[in-house]
Amino acid sequence: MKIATKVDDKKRHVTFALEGELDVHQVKGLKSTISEAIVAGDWSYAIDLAKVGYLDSSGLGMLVYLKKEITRQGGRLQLLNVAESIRSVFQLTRLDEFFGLK
Amino acid sequence: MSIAQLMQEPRPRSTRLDLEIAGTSRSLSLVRRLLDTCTRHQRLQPQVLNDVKLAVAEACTNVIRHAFQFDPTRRFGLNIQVSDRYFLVQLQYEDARFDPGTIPQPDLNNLREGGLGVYIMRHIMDVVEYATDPPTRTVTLRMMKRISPDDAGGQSENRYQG
Repeated sequence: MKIATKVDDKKRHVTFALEGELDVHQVKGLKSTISEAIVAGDWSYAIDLAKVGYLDSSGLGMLVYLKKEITRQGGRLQLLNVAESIRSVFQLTRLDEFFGLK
Repeated sequence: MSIAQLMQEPRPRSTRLDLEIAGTSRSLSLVRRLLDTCTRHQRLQPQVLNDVKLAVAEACTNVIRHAFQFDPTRRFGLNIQVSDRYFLVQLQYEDARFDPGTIPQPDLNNLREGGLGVYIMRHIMDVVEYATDPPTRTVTLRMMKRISPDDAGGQSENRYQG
């Protein structure tokens, strides 16, 4: 799993672009990398999933954790470019509503 | 007919995989690749294949994470049979503590980090059944998905129910 992080200090915005397959094998390292970049306050975060071709319940669990953690710290999280191949997992678990994908 | 009986029944143009998988999360991408390979000639709809691949991977993840706690020295059996009518999966592993009656239903209105794996399996597959054999501490998970003629050119029947 590759991750590219772009921070815009002026706009208080961070984008994480992920590439690869998001399963239990990848989640632990990725969760800690993204968690370390979260700061308290009114920041917005985006996770770009355009290049994520596979996502399972471990990946979903990580996204749920990150959204809750970011919200707890006063920020906002948005998912970008959710590919059709993984969108059904969000629909199946009704997480499309939770992440505002509808 | 039970899933176990269906797995014994010879079917024309079926593909069968009998694997022994190590209890490490690295095995999961290998399982997904093997599923791609063994379903290729069945010409399933990509979304049906993605769904089934996800259900099998969730089952394997649960074994590796909860039963084996990522112990790479442990092994479980994975049998897959794909025909023009059924997608049959059997996982067999040792877990003295597992009680299928205690699998919690996730609260979709108040989601936590975990607990979605079995929920996803049950929504994708038509049948998901666990059997335990306490004397040998063996757990057998069997799953079945019916392949309708439309699955080569239409949507699966079971998606998004419930």
